[in-house]
Amino acid sequence: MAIIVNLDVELAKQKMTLTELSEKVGITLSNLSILKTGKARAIRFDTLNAICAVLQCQPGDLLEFRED
Amino acid sequence: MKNKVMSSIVMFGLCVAAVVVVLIGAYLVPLSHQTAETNPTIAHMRVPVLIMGWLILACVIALLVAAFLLLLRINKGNIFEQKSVNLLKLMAVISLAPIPVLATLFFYTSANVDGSITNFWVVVGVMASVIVSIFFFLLASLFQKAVDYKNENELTI
Repeated sequence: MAIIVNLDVELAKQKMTLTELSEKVGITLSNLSILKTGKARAIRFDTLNAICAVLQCQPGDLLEFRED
Repeated sequence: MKNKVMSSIVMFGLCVAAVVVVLIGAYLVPLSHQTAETNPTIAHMRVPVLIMGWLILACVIALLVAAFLLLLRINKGNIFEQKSVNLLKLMAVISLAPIPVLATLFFYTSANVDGSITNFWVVVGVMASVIVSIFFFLLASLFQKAVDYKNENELTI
């Protein structure tokens, strides 16, 4: 897939685990895991907003476009 | 709860239908004997036509079993899954299965009896098979779309 989710990078920057993020954002661990592993087909603005607020980053930090 | 009651009623209906089909299958034996006795000129056709009748009834039983399995899935709440779509596709194929048997019956009776009345029922049977099969194929494609939408929705975070 051309869109890469850099959630693990942002989590490492904030020294936060996926479980902690799940608790703070209010999204289930399994859904965050789907997002982290790049299996997600789409992401809602609400979700992006909540993750960016907790990780104090920009959407561009989380999502990256790479040509195949 | 209401859906479960409804599907339980439909399951009971399917069981009754299966019993009726089996009884019809059993009734075909004395019927064939009776027909052979009243029409000795076509008595030699008794066994082949009886076997063809049983084959058609076997297709109906298979269709009822597939419908029963689909209802079990609906009762468990596993409706919009690939297995349900596959079951519907199987039901569509089973619905088409009597056509070769009916075609054989058509040619067999046409070759042995002039102006056989069986031809009318064969045409009705083929039409019914095709219509039921189209219905199941349409339902399967509708379910496939629903499964795709469900998967897409589940993968939207």
